[in-house]
Amino acid sequence: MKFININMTDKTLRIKDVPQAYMGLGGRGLTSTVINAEVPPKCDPLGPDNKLIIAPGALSGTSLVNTSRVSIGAKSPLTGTIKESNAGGTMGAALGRLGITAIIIEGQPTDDKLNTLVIDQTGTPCLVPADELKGMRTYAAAGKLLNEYGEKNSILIIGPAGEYKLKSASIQATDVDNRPCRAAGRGGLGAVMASKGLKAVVVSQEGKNADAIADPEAFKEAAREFAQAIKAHPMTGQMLPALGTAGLVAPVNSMGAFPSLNATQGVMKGWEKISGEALAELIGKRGGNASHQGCSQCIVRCSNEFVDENKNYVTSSLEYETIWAMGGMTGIDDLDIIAKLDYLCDDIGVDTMNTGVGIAVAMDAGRFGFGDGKAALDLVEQIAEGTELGKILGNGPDAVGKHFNHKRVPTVKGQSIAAYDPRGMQGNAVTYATSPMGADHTAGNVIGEYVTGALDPLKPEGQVEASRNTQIAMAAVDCTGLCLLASFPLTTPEGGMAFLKVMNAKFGLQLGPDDIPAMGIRVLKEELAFNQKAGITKEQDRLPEFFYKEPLPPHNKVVLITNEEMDGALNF
Amino acid sequence: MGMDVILPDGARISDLLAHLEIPEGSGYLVSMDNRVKKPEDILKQDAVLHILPALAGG
Ligand code: SF4
Repeated sequence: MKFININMTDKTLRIKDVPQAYMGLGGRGLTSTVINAEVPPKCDPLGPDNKLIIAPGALSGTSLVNTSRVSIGAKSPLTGTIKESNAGGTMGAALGRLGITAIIIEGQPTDDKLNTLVIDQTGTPCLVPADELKGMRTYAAAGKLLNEYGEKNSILIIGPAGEYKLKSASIQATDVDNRPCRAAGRGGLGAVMASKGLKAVVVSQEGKNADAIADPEAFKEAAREFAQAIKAHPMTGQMLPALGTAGLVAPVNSMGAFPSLNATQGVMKGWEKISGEALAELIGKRGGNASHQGCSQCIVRCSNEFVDENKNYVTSSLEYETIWAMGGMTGIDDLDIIAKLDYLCDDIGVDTMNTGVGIAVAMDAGRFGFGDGKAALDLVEQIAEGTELGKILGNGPDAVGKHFNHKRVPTVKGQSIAAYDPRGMQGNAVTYATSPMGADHTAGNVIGEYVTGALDPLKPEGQVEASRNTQIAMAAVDCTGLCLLASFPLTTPEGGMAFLKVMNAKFGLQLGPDDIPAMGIRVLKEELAFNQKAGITKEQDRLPEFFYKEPLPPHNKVVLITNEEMDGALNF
Repeated sequence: MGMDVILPDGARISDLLAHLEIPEGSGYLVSMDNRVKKPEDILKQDAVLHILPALAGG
């Protein structure tokens, strides 16, 4: 249990015990609590007063399966709000095994030199000059670092988009095959990392200093039960391993809620060509891997390795949200082009969702035709080249809309919506509008209620409550390091009970079922408090006007949730 | 892609799933006219149905 504090102004590094106020926190709970307590809310997100906080989940580094998420938090240059974006791969587990609760990076160098933070297998940190990595894309730079420090390291890294301090810049994380293809994509955290003069973080995966477990025997037993619950659940046991998240293309289109052609249609013409089924078939035919393990200790294997006709690696993992942003929104129905766009974004270090939506806005504005894959590839390349248009795209859909004077821009607080149209899934309208993170599906995706038929997605009734409950649950899950996609068994009695037992055995607690949502509420309160102090008002908890005015085919609905209802969503 | 399925008048979604030997609780959803249907809902003449993995999240 230790903090590593790094001040980039004078390059001092300190290892200290976790302060009492932060004891027991992990992941998003920790990043958000520290930011609310220590970051001046009105600070410049790219200035010296902002802090970049890297925290594994509370269960990361234990033997529990699927617990290698790492949360990265800061005040966001994109949304102006508090931000947590988490990534899979190997970093969460690596930090957990070293007993590192958080890395807190503050201050700002006075020169424009870049550094790499290296943490060895004893947990000792040091800063190393990284000027030779300047301008490098993430695959090449990560490869160079792994050559230098050894394969058994985990890496967080920024690409050219981060170095340009663009508002959609991501922080890329290496997967189990050492590729920087997992992303803390949202909120422009790559720009914050660059503003600290940090190109990469290299952490040994060979740590043997994980925090003690209060009751190791009970933990082992409960962890086994939870793994069984994952295997037994149809979603984590069968569907995600077979289709990955791309399996959502079919259900969301057949519900008429797949925002297409810059959110003017709810069903994409030709969606079958980019569905999870088509993706798995294509990968299978070419000899790629449609059920790949992306992250440490994962038994779900939702990831994939997309290969070209000659079986050469193109990208990993082609996910639903990227297929939507780069395919549905742009009208590009060619998986090969979408896969290349995914790779480019990872390599340049930019959020695939904000970028795909930005391209769609440019297309809708008439700058390019919908479906023009060549133009999309060229545009994304321009981000790395640093052209004027590239920088506009790299700053997100709002910047693109402003540049082309185009009003249909599907963002909230500057961040693009996700692959669920708020008019076709009214609960997600509430989440997009009210999440402290800006429009964000991982903050509270209500789709589970619709696919099970528990809630009518097109009627306003019950949506606020569904969004609230999901936002609370997600805030709690994000504290633990558990992958969101492995969290479905929490809703079954066996899975939920096993998980409670895991938490109690780890921390020597007597938590009951109500304590998990209480944890989520506590995190959301910290985040809302920060946003309020930062000057974010209720008037910003709104969707863009067109969602209230332009009915979405085929259901021809607009967003039906009133402002008063939105305001009550997170009124704790 | 697709297949024709003929069921008696008044057949329900649950009858369709039984006909296709898809066990209940296996995590599939049926949509008809872009709406998710419940097992007890009655099928419409000539309706286009999708039987899909009930995936959530992502
Ligand atoms: S389910 Fe997917 S995202 Fe989650 S841990 Fe496994 S590979 Fe990573």
